[in-house]
Amino acid sequence: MRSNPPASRGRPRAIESRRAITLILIGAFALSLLGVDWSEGVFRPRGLIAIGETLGALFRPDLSPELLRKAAAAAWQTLVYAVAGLTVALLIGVPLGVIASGAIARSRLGAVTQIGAARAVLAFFRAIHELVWALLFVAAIGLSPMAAVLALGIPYGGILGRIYSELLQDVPQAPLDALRRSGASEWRVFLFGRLPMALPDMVSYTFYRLECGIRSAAVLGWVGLGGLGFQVQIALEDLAYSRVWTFLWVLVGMVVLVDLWSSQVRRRLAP
Amino acid sequence: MLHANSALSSSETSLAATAGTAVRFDGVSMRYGQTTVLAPLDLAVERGTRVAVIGPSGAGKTTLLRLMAGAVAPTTGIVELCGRDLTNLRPGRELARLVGMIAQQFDLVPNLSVLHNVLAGRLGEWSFGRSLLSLVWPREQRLAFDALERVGVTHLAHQRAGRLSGGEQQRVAIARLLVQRPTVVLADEPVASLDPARAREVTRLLTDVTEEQGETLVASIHSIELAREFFDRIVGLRNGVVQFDVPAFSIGDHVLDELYEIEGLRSEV
Repeated sequence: MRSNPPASRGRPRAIESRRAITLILIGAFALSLLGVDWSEGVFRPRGLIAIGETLGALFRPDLSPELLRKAAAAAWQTLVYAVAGLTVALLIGVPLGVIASGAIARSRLGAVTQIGAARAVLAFFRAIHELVWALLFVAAIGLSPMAAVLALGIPYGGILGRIYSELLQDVPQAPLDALRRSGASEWRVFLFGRLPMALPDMVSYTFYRLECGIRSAAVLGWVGLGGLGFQVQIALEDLAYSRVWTFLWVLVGMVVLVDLWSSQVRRRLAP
Repeated sequence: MLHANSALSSSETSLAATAGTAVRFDGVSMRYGQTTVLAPLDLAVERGTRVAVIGPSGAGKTTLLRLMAGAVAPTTGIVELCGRDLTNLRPGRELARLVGMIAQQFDLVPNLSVLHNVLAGRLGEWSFGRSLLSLVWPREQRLAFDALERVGVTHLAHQRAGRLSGGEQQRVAIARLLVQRPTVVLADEPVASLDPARAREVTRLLTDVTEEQGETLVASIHSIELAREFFDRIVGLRNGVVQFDVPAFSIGDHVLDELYEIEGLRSEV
């Protein structure tokens, strides 16, 4: 039924430009290899030995009670940062994500304005990495937990808001149309259609972000905010690789636990 | 303001003049670009009757129903429901009181319970606060359970809609319409995705329920047997043109043969 001569002519052109892009990327990679100074070797003279020592300690973490107590305290601090940071991220991401989806706009113009404005704010929040936010907040309010929580919450809020807005837009349209036909306004369509249909993916993505948050919170230790990262840093400076691995294994354990928790919740939410 | 007032008064007079007519098409046609989907057409559906629209795929059945639902505006002509010109009605409470619709499937919100899906028929009437409250703590449950009982799926009230079979989902969609209570019920291939036994049950239910409530039903349907058995009147559509418009009991096999056979010959040319 549909006549589409432009599509049939446009198709080979699209394939050609795709090929061109592929060739350019391969070329760029090849050129980047030329930039490496192979004569000096890829590793520093001591580098290979250091790698050997690090990996050697992988399965020999220091499990002394004293260190485990220290690791537990550090892990708790990291977890608190991550959870508090994610709470701030939710406070930013949920309202801005809903606005950025354009789902509650009353007019087309309103939708365009809302989507544009909310996306710009979200983009600003997440364009700046949490470590940079951390440095800014440490400079502004000192080495306080508040700095860590805000440093995590702001970029994560930007990421959550962006993803939420897309999930809220990409729900099946037929049930939404059915709700509109029964007289529901866009807000009610949102409550009884969009939100329930997008919620499982929103929750699952939030859990994934909690995982990332734990990782990021650990790294915040490097700017002096305590937690697992700080302990890893100290251990690295002492070249005590088995202590480093104690802390890293605790980190891995926390991420695995969050993953298990999230799959439990996801199973309950599945339609 | 003045313009709106005059529009209102004229629609009120026509309401009095056409009290017995639920749906009226006056020179309605539909074109998308160069393609004519529906040739100019006059049609009147009496209140409380059940009309089946039959015809091959691409005949314009869905377009006809979408025009009646106010989902699209006609290229020419006027569509009236109970004397109200649909072009003046935006989606919302008023339109929802006039007309409700059932689609082939995928109409329910799969993550919500059956109860919530049925109560969604009340969203046009509820305030925002009440809607929000109902999401957590459903209001007017009595109404929803009465409707579910009528369609025979009370036991599924707390199941998620997405976990139901096709036939059960269509029953829930009918229950939602029972709660919405529109004057005109439209059904676009409501049983196309069901097996023959289930299709029969759901068609019977749909026609019975609308009859009990004194509602008007217009349904596009593939099965001629079902159309003949459960509907009062059959409209045959082909290539956007009404081929016949007759009482259901009077329809003969040769008429149906013509409706489908000629289409078959055409597609071979």
